[in-house]
Amino acid sequence: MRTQLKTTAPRLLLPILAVVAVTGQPPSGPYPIVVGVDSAHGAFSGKLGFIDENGKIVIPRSS
Amino acid sequence: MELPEFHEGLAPVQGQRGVGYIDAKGAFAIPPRFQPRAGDFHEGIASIYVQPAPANVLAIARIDHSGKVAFRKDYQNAHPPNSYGPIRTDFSEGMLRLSDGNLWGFVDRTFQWVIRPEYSMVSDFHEGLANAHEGRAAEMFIDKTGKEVISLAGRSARGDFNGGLVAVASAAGHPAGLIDRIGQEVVPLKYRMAWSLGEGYGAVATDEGAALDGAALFDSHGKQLTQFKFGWFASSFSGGLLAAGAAGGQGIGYVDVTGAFVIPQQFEQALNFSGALARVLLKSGDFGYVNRKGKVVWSGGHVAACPAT
Repeated sequence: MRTQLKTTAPRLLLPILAVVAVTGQPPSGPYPIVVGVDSAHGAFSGKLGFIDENGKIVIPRSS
Repeated sequence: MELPEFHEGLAPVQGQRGVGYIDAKGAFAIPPRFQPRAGDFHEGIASIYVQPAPANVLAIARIDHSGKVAFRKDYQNAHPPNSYGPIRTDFSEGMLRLSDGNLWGFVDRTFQWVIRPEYSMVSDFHEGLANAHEGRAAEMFIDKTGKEVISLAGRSARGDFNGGLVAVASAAGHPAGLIDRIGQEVVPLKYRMAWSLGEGYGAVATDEGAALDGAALFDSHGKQLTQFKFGWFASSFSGGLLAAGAAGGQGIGYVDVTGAFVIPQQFEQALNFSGALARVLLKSGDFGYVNRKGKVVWSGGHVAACPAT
């Protein structure tokens, strides 16, 4: 179940309902995060990690 | 960038030698060796794309939790349908839709045909029913024996059954409404658009000329729960909460089944809750996670560089 978050402000006009397949179970924790992003030149240098439901990083590196 | 997510305790992550699957401690439970792509686990099986030599052959395989290939089929002159998007063809309710190269049917977990490939298009099974097309004209919902349960007769489904409801519309796209599992119109087909939102709820939108006015929530008995006030909402209720924004409002929050905002409209964007947390895009431009009490438990990483999934 995946939807792209948009980088622009939401257009509060219908229809922009996110259509998401309800295949199987939804994802669960740990939840993915990206840290250390350098977007100064449009470059992406983030590291993948994961947090638990309290926001604590439980997998701190790009595995 | 597509963020990997945990399903059934495993998440696909790119390693040096391909994609593998990490467990909740971050260790590779299935070593990275799949190229170019690997999907999420659903019902014990994940789909992977393998690009063997020659390069114009695409193999679609299914692996189990041990990484063992349970099924593989090679396709000539084929490419992954979307090189960077998710793989959406997975088992759903024990059934996997497959094509014989021409028509579509369903196999079970032994990869034997349960419903022969005789449909021009099928959707995954949801709540025991799958949308199926016979040619261009006849559209229906079938059960897991292939029996037609609901004839749509000049109407077309807009999505899958979710919480006992599915949105349908005339072949022209509108008017639209909601039907239940026996094909009964719960919300009559007289609206501009309709959506099933899970957990026994749906929504329909009216229009004023060419512009859409707003959407209202309905329950599975056809009772209107709110005014036509929503300009945006996510795809599905999750545990009684739905990401939504009021028409003309300045952000996205979360409403309960009465349509009341229990988490204020404070986000640029918001997704469904997955368990305890939901992914949101903050006004600052960071993305983060919010819990069911509305507390942002983590934020960071500019979403412009990292569109969340």
